[in-house]
Amino acid sequence: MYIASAASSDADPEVALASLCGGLPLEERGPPDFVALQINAAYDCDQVRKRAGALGAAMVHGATSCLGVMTEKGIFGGAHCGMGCLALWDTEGDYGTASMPLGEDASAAAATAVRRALLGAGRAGEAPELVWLSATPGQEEAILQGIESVVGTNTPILGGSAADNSLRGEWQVFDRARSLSDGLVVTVLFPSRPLSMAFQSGYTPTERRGHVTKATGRRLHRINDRPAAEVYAEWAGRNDGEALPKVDHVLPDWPHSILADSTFRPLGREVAQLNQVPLYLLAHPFQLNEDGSLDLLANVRVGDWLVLMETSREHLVSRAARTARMARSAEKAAETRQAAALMIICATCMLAVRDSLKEIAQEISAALDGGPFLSLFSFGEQGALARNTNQHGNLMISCVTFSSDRT
Amino acid sequence: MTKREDLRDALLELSLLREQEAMALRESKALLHGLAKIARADTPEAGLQALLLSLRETFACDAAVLLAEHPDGVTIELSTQDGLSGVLPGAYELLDSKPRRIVDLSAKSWWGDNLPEGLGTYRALLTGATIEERGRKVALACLSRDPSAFTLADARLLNGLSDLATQVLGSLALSEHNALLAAVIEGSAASVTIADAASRDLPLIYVNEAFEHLTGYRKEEVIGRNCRFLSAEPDDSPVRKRLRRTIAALSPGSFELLNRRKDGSEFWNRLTLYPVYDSNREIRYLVATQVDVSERRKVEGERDQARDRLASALSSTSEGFLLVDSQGTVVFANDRFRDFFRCENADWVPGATFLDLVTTRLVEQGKPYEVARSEAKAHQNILFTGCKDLEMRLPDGRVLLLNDRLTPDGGVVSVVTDITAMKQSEQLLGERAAAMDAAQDGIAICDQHGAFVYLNSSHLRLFGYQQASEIMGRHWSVLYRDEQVDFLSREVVPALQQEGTWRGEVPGLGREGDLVAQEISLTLLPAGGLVSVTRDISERLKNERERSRMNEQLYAAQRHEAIGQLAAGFAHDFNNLLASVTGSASLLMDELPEGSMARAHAERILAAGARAGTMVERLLELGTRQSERRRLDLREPLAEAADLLRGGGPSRAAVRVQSPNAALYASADPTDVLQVLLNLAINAREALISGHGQVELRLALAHRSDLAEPCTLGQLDQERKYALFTVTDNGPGIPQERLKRIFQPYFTTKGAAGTGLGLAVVASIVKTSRGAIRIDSQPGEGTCFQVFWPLEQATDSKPRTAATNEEQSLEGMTILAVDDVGAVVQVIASLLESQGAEVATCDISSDALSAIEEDAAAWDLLITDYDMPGLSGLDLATRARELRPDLPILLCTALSGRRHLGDSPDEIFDAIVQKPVKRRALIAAVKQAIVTRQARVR
Repeated sequence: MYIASAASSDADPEVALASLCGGLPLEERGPPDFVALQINAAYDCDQVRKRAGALGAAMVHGATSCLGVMTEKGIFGGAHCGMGCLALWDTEGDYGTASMPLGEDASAAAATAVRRALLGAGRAGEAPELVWLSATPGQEEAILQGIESVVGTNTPILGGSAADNSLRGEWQVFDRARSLSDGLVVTVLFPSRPLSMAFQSGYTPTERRGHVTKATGRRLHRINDRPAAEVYAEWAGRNDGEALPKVDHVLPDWPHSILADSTFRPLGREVAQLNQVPLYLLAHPFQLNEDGSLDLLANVRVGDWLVLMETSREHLVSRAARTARMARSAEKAAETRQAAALMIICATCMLAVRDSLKEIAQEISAALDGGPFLSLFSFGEQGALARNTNQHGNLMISCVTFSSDRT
Repeated sequence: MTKREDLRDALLELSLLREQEAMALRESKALLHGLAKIARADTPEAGLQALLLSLRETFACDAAVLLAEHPDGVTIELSTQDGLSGVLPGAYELLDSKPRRIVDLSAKSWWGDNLPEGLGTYRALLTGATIEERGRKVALACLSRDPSAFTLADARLLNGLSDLATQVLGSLALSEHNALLAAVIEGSAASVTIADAASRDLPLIYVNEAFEHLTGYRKEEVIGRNCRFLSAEPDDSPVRKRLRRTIAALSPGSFELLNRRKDGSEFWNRLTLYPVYDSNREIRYLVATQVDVSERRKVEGERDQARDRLASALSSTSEGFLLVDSQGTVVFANDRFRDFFRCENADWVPGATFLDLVTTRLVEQGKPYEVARSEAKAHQNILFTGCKDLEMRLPDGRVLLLNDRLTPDGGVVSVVTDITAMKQSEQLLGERAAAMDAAQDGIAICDQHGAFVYLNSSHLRLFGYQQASEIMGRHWSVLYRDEQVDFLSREVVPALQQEGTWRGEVPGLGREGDLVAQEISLTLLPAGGLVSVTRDISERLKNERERSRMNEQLYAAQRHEAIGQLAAGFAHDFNNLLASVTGSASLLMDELPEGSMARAHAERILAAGARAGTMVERLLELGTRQSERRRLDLREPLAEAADLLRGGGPSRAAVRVQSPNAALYASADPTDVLQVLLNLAINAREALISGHGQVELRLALAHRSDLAEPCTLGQLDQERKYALFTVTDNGPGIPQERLKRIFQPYFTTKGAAGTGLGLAVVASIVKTSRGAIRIDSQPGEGTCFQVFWPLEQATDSKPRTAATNEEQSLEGMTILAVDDVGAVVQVIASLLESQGAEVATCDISSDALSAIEEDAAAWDLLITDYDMPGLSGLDLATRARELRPDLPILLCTALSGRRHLGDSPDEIFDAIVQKPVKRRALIAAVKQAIVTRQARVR
């Protein structure tokens, strides 16, 4: 198994793709068996898809990433550019990619996609080592359910929802066959060498917690029978009350975005325990509504215990490398092999520490001993905090490490 | 907050590690559990069954099975579930080396209606890594009715347990193998014994039936004893010593030694020993096989005797002999054969195989083993086809002739003869014949009766014959006319018989009746007959004639030139005298009254002087070729010279000509240039030792750097462009003392063959052409003549016509007149002064130059003679022109014809007046010079 990354900051998608091709050892190793391709949403996604054949891989798993990508070589991004890929050469392994529009039944679409991906890998009926998922934001929970209906709940699923640069819904996912603004792309991985992964929130629970007493999907109406926005403002507000708006304030317009403000204080749900350490899945409150409800980027259900989570800027900066190290600690790669990784970092977290991205990239690279990696910036993350718990959350970070042959 | 975050991270990492430990522990437990079950099993089969049960327990699944390859797919070979067996048709992928975690068996194409009974109820299947077992693939697998029964961790654990199964299956195979081995040994026709290596005396612990049969001893008689009791060899025999050393070292070995049976009879035993190691890599047993080789030894003894006799008989022959049996094994090879086919690392000894020996030999010659082996097989095939007269060349150059004969028993006798000398003779003869046939000279051989027995191609061609058959067998006289036959018979044949050889030129008779110019060399052959070598000399004769003609022409031209020079010298002096006579007469006439007797005398003197001048002109024309100066591309005379030289004789000198691509134009007489080139080139060619060497003629535009060095003859104008002719030879060179005189007339180094005029003519032509010559010659290193020829200039134009007849006053003019003959310059001065000019005279040209240098502006005109000692008229005019570019200069010369002045008048002199000078012509020339100068300055 050999893995390499390549990236470009060129605003012209054709030039950028050519640069990616030039950065990969395509002449030396031939077509890769699988390529994960992440691009800035500012590119014409369909144009990139049509040209992605140049990468040589039959299986191309593509999605948009907020403001570009990050690799071991640094940050490749900006308002209008940035694309990167991680290419795998693994003739003894099996890989299959498929895409589906979500349609009316996201769960069924996901099940169909993963079956097609398994067929593509020549592994129908089997459970892969990993399912790699990219979906447009909104129905991630249903999608996970659909995938698990095929591969079982004990197959890890790792994903990052497609993102754009301004929350205007310009995100897309694509494979060689099509690009979709409302769909999913799924890849089943049967690598010839075991891989390992980590899915982390990196946030710490506070004492502030309460029951969900009314919720519909991602709209949280009431906590402890009080308007959710009011409770959240109370929990999250500082003593001076200026950090977050309060509901009794007269706001100029509704709904009111709190996406950036809430990044350091999201809500968490305890979804599992690992040796009696509770594990929290985060839900990012991004919008206050006039009716006192709070819109989240993940589903909550009535009866869920919600906890106010918090983190510091320093911790956000350091957690990417920590997650990579954690993933590697589960890996028993021979010294002759080199780590390679696919990483998913929440775009909001990335924006909160954007001026430290270079430092983050260096730390991840150090954690991987200089091995290649590709990190995308997503609007929602999927993974398993503990075994058999594939779930969708926000503000999460995940990492899957492979063991690559050294050059 | 940071501490809390760190604490939580640490807890998370700890939890992760605990989970990993738990996984590892589970894996270890499962392995130990499996091992315990296997260990308790009585047989490998039971161990395998126990392992499957352990799997079922570990994975909490419904069944554990052993899958194995089957032609139709995969078969369930062993199962924890009663009755669960049979073939899964088409399920090949289960053994394709990829572990699988199938969560939906119904999605598999091979999961259909033809499943073994009871299998259809399962939903999930987990397979471990494929195991190679006795040449086939097998794999452990677990089945479950719960689709989510198996996790990724289960898949990894099953892979680990597959290694355990590999060992169990290995011991199963080993057990079967041991049982088979035991049966084979016991039933073997070869005698086998096993001694206990752990005991000091190596007692026998096992002997098979064949041993009993071979030795006559029964098992119970020998078990516990060392088998040395069998030996009939003396204790100190070499083979016994070697055997003892081998046994002491417990190392493998093979021996042939004399043994004694229980009944006392002796037999030759081929004993092979090899040690057997236990699992700790220590020698546990010493196994020996014994084979009775008595019969073979006996046969070998007989064979050796026969071979010795044969070897003795064949050792002294010059042929090589090889005898191989039908199996390709060497039975006999004599020394000669060994010498032919020597191997460094093997020998042609009885018992060696032909194939191995030839292979070894070819490998030694540097061929890769596979190639050598393949070629050796080909050799063996040839050997066994009984080849005849097969030639073979050895790497050392020897040529062998191989003759193989099949023997009645399927073997082969190969007889090898060294035919190197014969082949060399053949080759030599062939080469000689080819050389004779390819020779440029005609070669013919006649037998003792004078009939042709051989003629080479050149000979046939020379006499116009196409085929040798046209003349072969006919008498030599057919190639001569009667008078030559008579001459040859009468003069040559007796001389030939007396001297043995004869050489001479005798014209032959061609096929078409034509004469063949030839030089023949005849040699008598010892066995009678003769060899005639004929050389075609027609070309040589032609060249000699041409050369003779050219030399005559050249000498005639040179003689003509010499007469011309003589006449010119005479004319110059005579004209000067005439100038004084007629000039004085003219002055007398001016002073004498018309109608007086004295004036009539003066008029007669003038008329006689004019006639004398005309006669001198005719005399000059008599010795001088009329110049045909024209615009000439200098490449033309060069090409013409080259043609003449190449066709000019049988010289062996190579003539190389280099000519520029672009034309070089000069105002020149082509004959002059040709004469210069021919003289120099012929001299060069004749200077070559024995005519061998190279003469090179080159023409190029002279570079500025070429003009810098001083010349041997003439001077170069640095501002002017010149063509450069170079004539180079690689002859002996010219000694320095000769170089000084080389251009003098009548100086020659060729003795009677030379006129001494050639280089004098060259010098004259080059000098009058305003050219120059530079000679570079070193004794022993050849000679290089560089001839600089002035190229045409923009101002070159046709000579102007005579001056106007209009007589005008020279009042107010200050004129400087120069002539080395004082009388002449005085006459000129008088004529000019009579017209009002003020004239200063000089009879030494350098004084005139000083006068100009002193005050160049003081002079309105310079009149100068051309041919003066020291500073010539041209030199004076050139210097004056430099000092005073607008000074009109008039040339007053006794030399007849413009060619004596080269190109100079048009450039330096503004007008010319011929001596003897007449008043009217002089005045007109003065006026013309003034007008021309004015025009030129403008």
